[in-house]
Amino acid sequence: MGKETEEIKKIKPGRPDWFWFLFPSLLLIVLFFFLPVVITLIISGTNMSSNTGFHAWKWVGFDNFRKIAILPETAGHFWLTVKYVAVTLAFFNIGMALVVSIITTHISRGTGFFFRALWLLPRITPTVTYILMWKFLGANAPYGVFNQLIIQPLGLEPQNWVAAASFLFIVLVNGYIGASFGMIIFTSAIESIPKDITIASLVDGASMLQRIRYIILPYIKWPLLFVTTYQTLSLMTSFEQIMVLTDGQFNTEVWSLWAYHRALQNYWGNFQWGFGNALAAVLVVIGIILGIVYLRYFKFNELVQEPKIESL
Amino acid sequence: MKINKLFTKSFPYILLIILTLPIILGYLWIVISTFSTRSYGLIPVDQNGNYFRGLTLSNWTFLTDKTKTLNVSIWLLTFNTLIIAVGLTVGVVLISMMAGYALSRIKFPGRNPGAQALSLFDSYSSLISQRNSSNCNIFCSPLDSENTNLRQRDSDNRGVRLQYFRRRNSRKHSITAAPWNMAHERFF
Repeated sequence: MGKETEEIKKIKPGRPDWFWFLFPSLLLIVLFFFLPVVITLIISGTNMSSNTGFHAWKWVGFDNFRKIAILPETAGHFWLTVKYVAVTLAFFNIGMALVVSIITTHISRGTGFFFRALWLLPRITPTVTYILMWKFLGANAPYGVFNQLIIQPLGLEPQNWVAAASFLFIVLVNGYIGASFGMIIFTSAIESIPKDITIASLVDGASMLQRIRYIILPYIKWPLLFVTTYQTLSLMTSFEQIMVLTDGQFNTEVWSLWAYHRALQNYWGNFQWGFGNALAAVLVVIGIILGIVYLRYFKFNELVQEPKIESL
Repeated sequence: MKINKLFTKSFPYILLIILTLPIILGYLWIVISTFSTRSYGLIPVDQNGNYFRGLTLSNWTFLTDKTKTLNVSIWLLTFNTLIIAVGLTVGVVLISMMAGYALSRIKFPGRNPGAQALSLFDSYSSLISQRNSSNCNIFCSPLDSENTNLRQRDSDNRGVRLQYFRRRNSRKHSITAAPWNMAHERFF
């Protein structure tokens, strides 16, 4: 094999095959992921704003980051973001996804499909429609659905739950979208567990909980780790649902929304592009660090098998 | 006993319905509100707040009416949406399939770190990393010698407990290590 490959390589000049296969993706990544990060980092070192325009700005070094460090509201936004990401991830993007995928794969096939289709609806609904739906679910009497069906029959005081339980609502709104991602991946992973293993465990008298603990969870370990990693990073940067739902009111201004407000839309009308980009840069750096930590800690390199062939 | 069994049978359905309730109610509300002038919760009302009145099709007139509600025909907007959706789908699938193929089949310098880093990026991850991290379920099974890979990975990753299950499952060991009833033997 070695000799023939050598000869073929000699005949075929130019770049190797893998380059042309990867080229389109690499181009897109450089254009839409890598360059924006570089631009963000560059702008974060300036005092560019709608006051200075694109011409009168100056380099300010790390002043923007110093400002982030001393601002009194920084800690509040930071811990809210941590809390929001952790709670949404644990209870919805992983927890709910796991529960839904386990249940829907263990009931009749048609019913399982039906419920999974329902769970996919939030993902394919336009954000504004979806948020409008949540606003009216939680709206004050007489418009709100929760008030009408749950709160008033129980004899409790109806109120606008989006404002009263704002943190719960941003978690619910993002969680019901985010859960479908994990649900799809977990479902396909659970369905690919060899049947003989499950049957063997049934014969041994394993209960449902034991099967989840000793068969399903070990089997879907890698999808689980992947979804955790991916969803952490995407939750950290997602803000559009929160923006449409509360626009940062009722103490729901997460870090990415803060950056957006400072840079592109705020009450005072002075769009601080430099400062907003510094906020975004902090998020990017945290994201990169978290990504590397996840890859190392979860040993992703063990997943990536060495392929058996070297050329096409 | 019978009630108990009924409960065990219906428990997953009940749990699932409770968990899905916000979605069910929300989309019910969307459907109901598009057919009514106003709505109190899930109940359509008319201008004066009379229950179960005010059902109307006027919210749907944009389907045929070109001028009143929108400035352009809804079908033009639908067509534009379709172009974007189909174009993006074809593009993303094609590009990430090519990258996924290269990453999964060809050995080249920097491949492993590259594949790992790619799995963190949006849109690629859901396609490419299927191959790497979720047992290759959706996308790459035709590309892959799936069975051998799965088996290999299984024996690598699974806990002692599962190997134990498998060993007991095989006939060779069942004579010495089968505590269960002979009736079950028929399954194997």
